[in-house]
Amino acid sequence: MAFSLFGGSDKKDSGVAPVSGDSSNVNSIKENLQAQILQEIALTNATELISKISNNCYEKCILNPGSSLSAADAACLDQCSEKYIQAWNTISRRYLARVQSESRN
Amino acid sequence: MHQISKNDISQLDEASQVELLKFVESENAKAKLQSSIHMFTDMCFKKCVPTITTGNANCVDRFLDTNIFVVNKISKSMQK
Repeated sequence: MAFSLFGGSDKKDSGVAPVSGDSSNVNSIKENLQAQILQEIALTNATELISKISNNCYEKCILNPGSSLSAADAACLDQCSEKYIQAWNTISRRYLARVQSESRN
Repeated sequence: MHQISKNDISQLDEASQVELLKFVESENAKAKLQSSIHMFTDMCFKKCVPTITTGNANCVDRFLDTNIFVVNKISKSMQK
C-alpha cells in the first residue's frame, strides 16, 4: 500500500552550532526527544487515518450488520480502504501544492 | 525509548533548547496541515467519486475557494 505520511523525515542536523561541554550527550538527548516527537505525530496520524477509514467504510460497506463479517463485506472493506488511501494521497498532494503556490503570492 | 522527562530538557544547553523549540514549531505546523488533509479527505470521500483523481482534487480546490470566498465576504461585511 503506497502511503506517505510526514513523520519519517530524514532531516539530520544541518549546520548546527557546536555545543559546549558534553556535546555528544546533549546531542543524543536532543535527537532522542526529536525522535519521540516524530513517533508520536506518526502514531496520531495513523490513529486518525484508521478512525476515518473505519467510519467511512463501515457506512459504505456494512449495510446490514450480520452475525459475522461476510466475504463480500470484507472485499468491500478492502476496496474501500484502498480508495480512501488513494483519495488521501491525491488530496494531500493537491492541498500542499496549493498552500505552497498561495504562500508564494 | 524512555519518556521525555524534565530532567532531559534541563540538561540541554540553550542553543539546543532553541533548536528543539523550532523543531516542535515546525512539526506542529506540519501536523496542522496533516489534520486539514484528514478533514478534506473525509469530506471529499463522502461527497463524491472516490475513484476519480480529478474529482478529489476539484473537491479540495473548490472547498478552499469556498473558504476564501466566505472569508472575503465576512471581512467586507465587517468593514461596513
